[in-house]
Amino acid sequence: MSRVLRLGGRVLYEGLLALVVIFMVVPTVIVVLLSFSGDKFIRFPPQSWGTRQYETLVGSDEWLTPLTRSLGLGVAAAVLAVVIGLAAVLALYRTAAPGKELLQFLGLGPLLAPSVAYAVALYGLFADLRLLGSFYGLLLVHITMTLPFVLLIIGAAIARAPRDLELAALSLGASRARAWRDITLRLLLPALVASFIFAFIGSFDEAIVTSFLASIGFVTLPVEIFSSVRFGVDPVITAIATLLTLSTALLMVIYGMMRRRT
Amino acid sequence: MSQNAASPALHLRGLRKSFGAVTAVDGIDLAVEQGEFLTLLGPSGSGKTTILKMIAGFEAPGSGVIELAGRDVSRLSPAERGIGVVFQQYALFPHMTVGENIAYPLTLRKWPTPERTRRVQQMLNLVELSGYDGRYPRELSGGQQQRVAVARALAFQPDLLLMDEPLGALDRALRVGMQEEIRRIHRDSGAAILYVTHDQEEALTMSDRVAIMRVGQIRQIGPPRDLYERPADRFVATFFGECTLIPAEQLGPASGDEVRVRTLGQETTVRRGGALPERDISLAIRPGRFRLHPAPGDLPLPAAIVDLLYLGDAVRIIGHYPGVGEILARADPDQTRDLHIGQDVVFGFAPKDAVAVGGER
Repeated sequence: MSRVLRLGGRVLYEGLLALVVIFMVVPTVIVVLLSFSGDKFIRFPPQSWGTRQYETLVGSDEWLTPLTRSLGLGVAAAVLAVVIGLAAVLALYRTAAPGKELLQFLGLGPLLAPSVAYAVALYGLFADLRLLGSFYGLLLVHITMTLPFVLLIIGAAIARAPRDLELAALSLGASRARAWRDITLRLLLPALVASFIFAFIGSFDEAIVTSFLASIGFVTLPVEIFSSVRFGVDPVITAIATLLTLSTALLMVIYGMMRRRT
Repeated sequence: MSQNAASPALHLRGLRKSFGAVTAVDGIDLAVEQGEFLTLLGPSGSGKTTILKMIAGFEAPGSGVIELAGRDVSRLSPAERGIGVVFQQYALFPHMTVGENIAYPLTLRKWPTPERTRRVQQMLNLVELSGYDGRYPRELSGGQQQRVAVARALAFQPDLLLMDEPLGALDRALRVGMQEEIRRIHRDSGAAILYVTHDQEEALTMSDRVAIMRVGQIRQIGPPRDLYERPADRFVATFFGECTLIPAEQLGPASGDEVRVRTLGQETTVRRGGALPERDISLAIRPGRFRLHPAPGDLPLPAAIVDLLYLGDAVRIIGHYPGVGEILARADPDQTRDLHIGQDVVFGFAPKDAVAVGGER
């Protein structure tokens, strides 16, 4: 019986592994290969090889502008989401502030609302406020949408950091500010980095809500990609995708190394 | 050390604290002398941890005064009080090595590096963990972590060390070893210790004096021997060690320490533990004071044996007698060879070994 179970488990495991490879890894590898194609159109396998796609990317504002905009928006949204999220988590876990449960629920709200419904509602609001295509309008929305990740990650970390540690530091002669800096903030550091990474990726990757709110004034990379796909696929996208895959992987490696050190 | 020979290391006067309608600490007056080991013993919810938090400065007193060596610290921050605190869950900083943990209070006090290094080595020697300074807390066992916590709390030479159930998270075998260790560290460091526990055995073996607490008040304070041999009331008698309570009737007012009582159909004179109510008193007798063969002058207590527990160097006898209830006795294994469960026996105890007590259990 247990042999049958073990065999079944093994088949299931290897089957799942095969599916992950087929649906996640293979397309990524193909895109990376395609980004080194020298062709004018996307076709696999490529007829010729080269760095033509990367040269086009760097040489034209068409892609470089939305890329830098997305990077700027992502970094700004992630930094602010982490600062706001940290303050919120401290209020939620370390004070007796009234209405904590409601705050917690509202903070996680964007995870519950379907993106399209949220986008349509915001579209109306932004049209009235003349915020369509505005960087600050999008920034607000991206902070709101990435805040749940920050709240969850930092919240989990502060729940694991015993309150006694801060009290111990106080009893050993530390001021409140010093205890907070030396102990609590230091112990939350990996969570701060992790939540920054997730918030950044969340903002950088966001296409649905942003495509409603971005317009000629301000277009992010995912929105630009979506609109370009409507008129045929520009092979430069493969170069962009490859760069994004690499940088995401790099961020994850950095985070993994940080976690191991603490 | 800022020792003021005239003043106790810690003096609490009329300390009170309420949480909403609940009074957690209800008027505590207590002095811990320089170098003394004093234990607050009480069941959970008796307010002992709240007292410790107020002394450490983590919780503001509702009213009352906290003095350290004659200095009123009631309104000072924890850092300004300079008291060492040892927590039940150790509270070592996980991102610092053992050496960095112990050096932390010295770094805050801006000690020069050579003196800091010397002091860390000295503290590691004190807790017998030399060579562990480069380890991280998670690489140590529970007992080792607690020793590091003690070393850290004593590193800046406080005159007073607070310990909140420091052995509560350790398993039983380790606890006994750590009890001896803490007593030795106490002798070597010279700091006064205020120790909190709900374990009466720990309090009995470790302390110079024990304060027994119940619902926010101190019921009795004294050396363990006084508390054990002369409990003030029923609660102390049953909470601090085991005892058998035999109903008795008071015959006239107490004269000095002694009181005339009628019990088990006889009249006799016994000592009293504290103030006695007019009615409803008991005689408290410790298990070791019962004799299996009553001596002349003993009061006889008939009982049926309910259970016999062989403990190696002693045998624990649980008996029953209508009107008295459970009887707890202890005897030499050689004397109990012929006993068996269900047997009727007559215990005897000398009137001088009984203490008259009143109050609730």
